[in-house]
Amino acid sequence: MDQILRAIRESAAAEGVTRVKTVALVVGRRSGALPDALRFAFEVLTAGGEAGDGDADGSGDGSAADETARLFRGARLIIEEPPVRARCRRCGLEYGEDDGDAATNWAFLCPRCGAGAPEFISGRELRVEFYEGE
Amino acid sequence: MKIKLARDILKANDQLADGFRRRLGELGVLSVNLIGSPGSGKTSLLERTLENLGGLRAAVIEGDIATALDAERIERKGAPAVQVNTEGACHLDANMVIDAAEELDLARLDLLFVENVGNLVCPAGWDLGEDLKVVVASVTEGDEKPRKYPAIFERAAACVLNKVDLLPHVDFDLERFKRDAGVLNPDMTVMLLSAKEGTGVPEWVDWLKTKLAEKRSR
Repeated sequence: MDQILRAIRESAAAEGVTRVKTVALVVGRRSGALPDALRFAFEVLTAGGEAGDGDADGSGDGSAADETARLFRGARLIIEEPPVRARCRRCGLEYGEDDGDAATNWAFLCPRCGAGAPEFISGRELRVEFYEGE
Repeated sequence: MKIKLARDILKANDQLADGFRRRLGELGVLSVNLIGSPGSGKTSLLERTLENLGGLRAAVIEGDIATALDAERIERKGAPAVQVNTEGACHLDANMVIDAAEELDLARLDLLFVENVGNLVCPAGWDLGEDLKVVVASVTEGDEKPRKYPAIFERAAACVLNKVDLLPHVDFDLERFKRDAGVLNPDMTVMLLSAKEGTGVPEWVDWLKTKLAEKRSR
């Protein structure tokens, strides 16, 4: 999350944005990242920054943490979670996590021919889509 | 104002890793990222490897949350070692590896081993500029590791199954382990090895030599 906010901070500086209102992420269901953990980190990293505070980490040094808190004060986090879609390398079938027996299909095998190690079409995304600010 | 970024969160890391991979490519150095649970025997495997490399020159970058114990073990085998302490982080990233490599004379190497922080989860997602990821598992951990941690098995070029000298004493279904690993990644080479007794080490070293020769002939 620190890297996400840093990327937005750099972009905001270049675009002249001083206040970020919305951050939109795409976090695939097989990306390895946990949306709940990201929400929690977002909350923690953007906390503080109240008007006239300007010292989010109590360091009194106008650090990056203070800057982040000011820029993101009250911002909303939206997370889109694309489902997992795969294409079988053997028979070409396109399938999703609800096809076949999802509960026992730990290796995401092809529901038609049983082959493993498919090509993943979606579900591994981990990116900042956009942010809104002024 | 809506600003489209569409930026991959790991892109900064991946760009650094690609640059490092190109540099190693120009120097003809094969880089291997070893990933496994704490106690699976990654450092023991490296010690055995260094004893059996023949004339090949190798160096090791050691990743741990704390201590320089592993780098000290490597140096006792006569190989250059750099210890990275992540101070809490559960994996190495490309930046840490590139910084550590500053301490090494890469042009004089054939092989660069990176021993990742003991963890089967996070290290799988971080490209360190390596040519090959190798997952180190051991029979004392149980045979369900591929099922529980598929991401690393999907991405590894080889799996070293360590501590096979203990097979008679533990409940480890070798066929199940091999079958599950093969389902996740049919291209992965599975090697049975005992770092303690040395069985399987020649095959592992031959595999490394083959990969090095393949890289240099490209």
